[in-house]
Amino acid sequence: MMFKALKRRKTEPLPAKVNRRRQKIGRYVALGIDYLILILFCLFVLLPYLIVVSTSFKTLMESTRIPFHFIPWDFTVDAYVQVLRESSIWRGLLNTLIVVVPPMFVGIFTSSLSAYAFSKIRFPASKVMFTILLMTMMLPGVVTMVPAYVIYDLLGWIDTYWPLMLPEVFGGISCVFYLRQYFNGLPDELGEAARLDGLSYFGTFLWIFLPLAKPACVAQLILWFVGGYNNYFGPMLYLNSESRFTLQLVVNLMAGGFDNNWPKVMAATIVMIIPMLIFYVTMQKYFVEGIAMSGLKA
Amino acid sequence: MNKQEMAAADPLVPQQTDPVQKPKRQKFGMNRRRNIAGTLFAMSPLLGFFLFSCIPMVLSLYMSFGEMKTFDIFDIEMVGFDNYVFIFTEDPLFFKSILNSFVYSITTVLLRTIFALLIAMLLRSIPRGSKLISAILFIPFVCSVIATSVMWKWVFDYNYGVLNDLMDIFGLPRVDWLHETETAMGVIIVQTVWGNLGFGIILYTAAFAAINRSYIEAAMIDGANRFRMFFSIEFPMISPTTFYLIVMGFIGALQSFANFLVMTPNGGPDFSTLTMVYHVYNSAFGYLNFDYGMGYASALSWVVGIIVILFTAANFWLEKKWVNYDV
Repeated sequence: MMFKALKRRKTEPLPAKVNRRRQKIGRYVALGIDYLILILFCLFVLLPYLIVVSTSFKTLMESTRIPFHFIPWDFTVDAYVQVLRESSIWRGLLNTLIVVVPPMFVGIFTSSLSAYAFSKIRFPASKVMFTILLMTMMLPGVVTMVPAYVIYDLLGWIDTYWPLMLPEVFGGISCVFYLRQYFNGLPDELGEAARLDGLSYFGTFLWIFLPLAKPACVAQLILWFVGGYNNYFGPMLYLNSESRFTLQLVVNLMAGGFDNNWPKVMAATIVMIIPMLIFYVTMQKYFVEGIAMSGLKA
Repeated sequence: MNKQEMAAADPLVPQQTDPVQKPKRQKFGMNRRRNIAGTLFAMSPLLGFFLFSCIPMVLSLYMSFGEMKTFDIFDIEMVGFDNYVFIFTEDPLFFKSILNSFVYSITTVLLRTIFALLIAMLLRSIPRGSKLISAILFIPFVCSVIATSVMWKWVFDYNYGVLNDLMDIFGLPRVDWLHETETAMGVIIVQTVWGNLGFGIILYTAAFAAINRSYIEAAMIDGANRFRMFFSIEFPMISPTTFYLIVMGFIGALQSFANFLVMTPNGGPDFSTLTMVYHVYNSAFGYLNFDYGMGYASALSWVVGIIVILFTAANFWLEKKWVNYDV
């Protein structure tokens, strides 16, 4: 082996200075191509946003000019004023917060309690229950769509927030996986010490582990909130009266209107995504961690 | 129970009292407390699953054998296997919706995985800016289907869309992208891949970071070139991530339809964007509600669910052939 390696090296031409420079140039070219591809992808991703932002600052007349131009000639914020004056937008936002926030906190609490049990308490049903939980993730949700509606109709829950809020309270399965992973990283001795000091299992969770799992919980809260805020299908299915519409439904209604006020629709879209973008920019770390971990466990 | 009793009951505490006298029952009792606590705490997601998935599933199975044109569960007429027979023999849209779903799922999952992998590799090779670029590429992920649909509808609009302006520049005829049978699905595929790129990139970036450097160094010493390095070392090392992306991607994509619903109402031009779940939705809540009803939709949802499960199972069976878990 050793001999072979030596022999091979001998047959190779010695790296001359010219050769090295050529290599260096080659590397720069390769790097340039890398950057070029990445920038093209970035443009591809950003292009729809730029178009929407540009349209939202145009006047109604200008928005329908063909061909499209990026810089508005007649820069105006009229569309934003119109959107922000629209009471349905604010009511939609309020409704969204009512639907999403309270169940979210309860759901994170139950999820972390469950994750704590799976991670730190050794009980006989643990393995079976966890396997069932894993399998439920693979189950297609489509089967429950129709009968769930029938049940909610039977209970008189259609056009109320119950179908959107109540299932969330029991915690999310992926959230349990993520938090369990996090709890696994915390030393068992902490819990044992707390138990010795006479804390109950629930107390150990509440006073010792939950505070320690705060970053993980925050990460999950963020993902949860974004998911709830962006949820369209559930509210669309269960809510009928416009006064109960969430923000997504309100904007969808606006976009589907026949008045074709494009700048206003675009402005409403921008207004709708801005909270999420701010959220994302400020809490990017949590987003990335929350998602990266979900994949690594696989 | 005071602290002393607690300590006495806990098996972890060195027992100060006579160990022989310690009754076994006490220890068992302690275990039972632990078991009850563990089971109770762990219960809630399972309880949620039971209430909001299991019970509906049972009901759905029952409904699938009946004809039910309203939402009232008591207004049902049992028809045996008629619904299932109708699905496979007469429903003109069923096979079309399956084909559409698979075309959509395979294309989006593959494109997303390949692009995400490519970008993650490029991000790794550039000296700076990788954080910014991956942050930009992730943006669509935090935007709702309503927002992204408004954007893409506008891009592909017949009159005002940028793409048709481009067609004009190149002297090509304008295309009504969202209302042509050949192109509507393509639009939604673009939208989906665009929206999901960032997710894959994050996963791949994390997977690359987790690769044990010593393998790569060993391969470099052995004189592996970039391609050999990728296919023999890196790709096997990140194969669990690829598998996760593919499996979860398929489970999601085969059932996705919210974007279809917003982009192309009622199944698109000539039902070219009618997916399996969209068909279920149309039968239960959409324009087919009066023809098909909830009973038929339930039967359809079971068939779709079983297709998804079979496809997932096939993925897991294939997993053994190419996914590598020895890190």
